[in-house]
Amino acid sequence: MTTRSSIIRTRFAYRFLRSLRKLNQKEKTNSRRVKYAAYVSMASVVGSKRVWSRAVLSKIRNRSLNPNLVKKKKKKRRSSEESGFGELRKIVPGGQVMNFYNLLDETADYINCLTSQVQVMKNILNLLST
Amino acid sequence: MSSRRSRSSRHSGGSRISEDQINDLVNKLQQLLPELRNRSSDKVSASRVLQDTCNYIKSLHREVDDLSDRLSELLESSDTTQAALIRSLLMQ
Repeated sequence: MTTRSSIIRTRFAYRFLRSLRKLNQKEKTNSRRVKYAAYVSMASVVGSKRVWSRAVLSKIRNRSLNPNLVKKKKKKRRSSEESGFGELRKIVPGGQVMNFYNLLDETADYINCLTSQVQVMKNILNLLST
Repeated sequence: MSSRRSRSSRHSGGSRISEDQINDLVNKLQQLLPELRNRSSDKVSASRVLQDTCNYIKSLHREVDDLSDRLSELLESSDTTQAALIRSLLMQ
């Protein structure tokens, strides 16, 4: 587990820094682009084996093509016994198409990756500001 | 709606999921939450774990937002040295 997350951190750092360099070269750096670069980098590292990473990649791709399309999709409501999970479904990328078991499983993986992502972003920020 | 259901059930690989498997996953989630990590699992309800999971993910999203703000400010303010630094980080 620890080795897996350290591999993920290293790969994420590499991809994210490369995207930052690209943004910087084109002088296109802004907060939104940096944020997208972070989420896309992490999703690319995880690859297609996870539902959440596929969802992040396709969501960001779709948004850049047509921002209105994505908003409409979100309006679908799910009335079910799982009302407690409704919020989780919305927060975890791709959560709308998962069954309950997969949602929990994907959520655990998503949290691990997000914490790695935050950690690496903090480290980069510290390195750059010293 | 029904077609969505059948599509999502395919992810389970056709096998039935037992309550134990769900409980294992809820416990696993609990271990990932800083606030609930050190509590014994029988004292924390599943709905509490799910609620805290949502809150934790939201707080991580906010951290990413905040870090992106600060990173972009930093990169915009002094581009040449930072770009050189990023390049040197990539060389390692």
